[in-house]
Amino acid sequence: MIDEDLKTVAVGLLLVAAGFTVFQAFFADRVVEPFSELGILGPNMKIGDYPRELAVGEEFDLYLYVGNHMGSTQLYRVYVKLGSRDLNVSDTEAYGAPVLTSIDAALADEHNETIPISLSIPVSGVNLRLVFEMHRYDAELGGWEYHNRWNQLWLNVTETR
Amino acid sequence: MKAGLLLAVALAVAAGAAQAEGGLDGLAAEVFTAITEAEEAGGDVSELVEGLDRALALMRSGDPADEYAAEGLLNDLLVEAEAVRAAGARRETYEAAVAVAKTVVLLGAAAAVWLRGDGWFWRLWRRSKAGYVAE
Repeated sequence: MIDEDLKTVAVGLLLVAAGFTVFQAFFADRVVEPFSELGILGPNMKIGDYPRELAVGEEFDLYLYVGNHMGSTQLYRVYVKLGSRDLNVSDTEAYGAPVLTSIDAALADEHNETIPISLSIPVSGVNLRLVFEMHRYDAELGGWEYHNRWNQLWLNVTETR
Repeated sequence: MKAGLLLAVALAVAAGAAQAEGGLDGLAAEVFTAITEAEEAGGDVSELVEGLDRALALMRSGDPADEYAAEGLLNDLLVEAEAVRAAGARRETYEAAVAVAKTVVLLGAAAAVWLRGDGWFWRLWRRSKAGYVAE
């Protein structure tokens, strides 16, 4: 009777071990919820102290934070676009404002990078919207696609300061 | 031999044309695609990704000398990516074979215990206690 119980336990353990081996081989690399991070940090590399009032052509420094949790290596491009309050940003479509510059970064899975950037605004205006928009390179399609992540800063830019 | 030479020349011309068309951006995308393929094949691409990111940083500077260095780095990465892909594919094949063998052995052991295991544990216990005298 005890022997029968021991036999059942031993067979159960062997089957569990076999199942675990199969799971490890085929499903261990699966990422449940892939996502990417995009953040804008101020000149002190912290959230805050963002510029608000600027003169046309005045240079200012920011830091771009990009993180990859997509389960594979990613090539990101962050477009910096200058728009206005009248033109809204969308989660599904790229912002239709002119591009000031773009920053590319290649990141392995579970890695992040903080990139220093120096920008200047070429036109004056009130409540200008400086949009940072994340795109990723789709190797299968062979092109860039909007990755539905964006950040923005509001700026007042005067002719002179 | 001739056909091989012609193919090599055609590939070189095509690669040159693609590079001229896309410039450094196109070359960087090509390297990324090669890295993706190497990663999917099971290769360790961490150094390749660091290299690509370094090349992108050089491209950002806008300095022609840095761009020249970036181009050299990207071309090197393209060659290395192929080697990493091949090594990854070999490792994946080996690991898959080991996983299949482990599963077969475990399932075989489970079947053997189930079918022929009656009395095994009792005999094992008795053997381990052979010569034991209760005080």
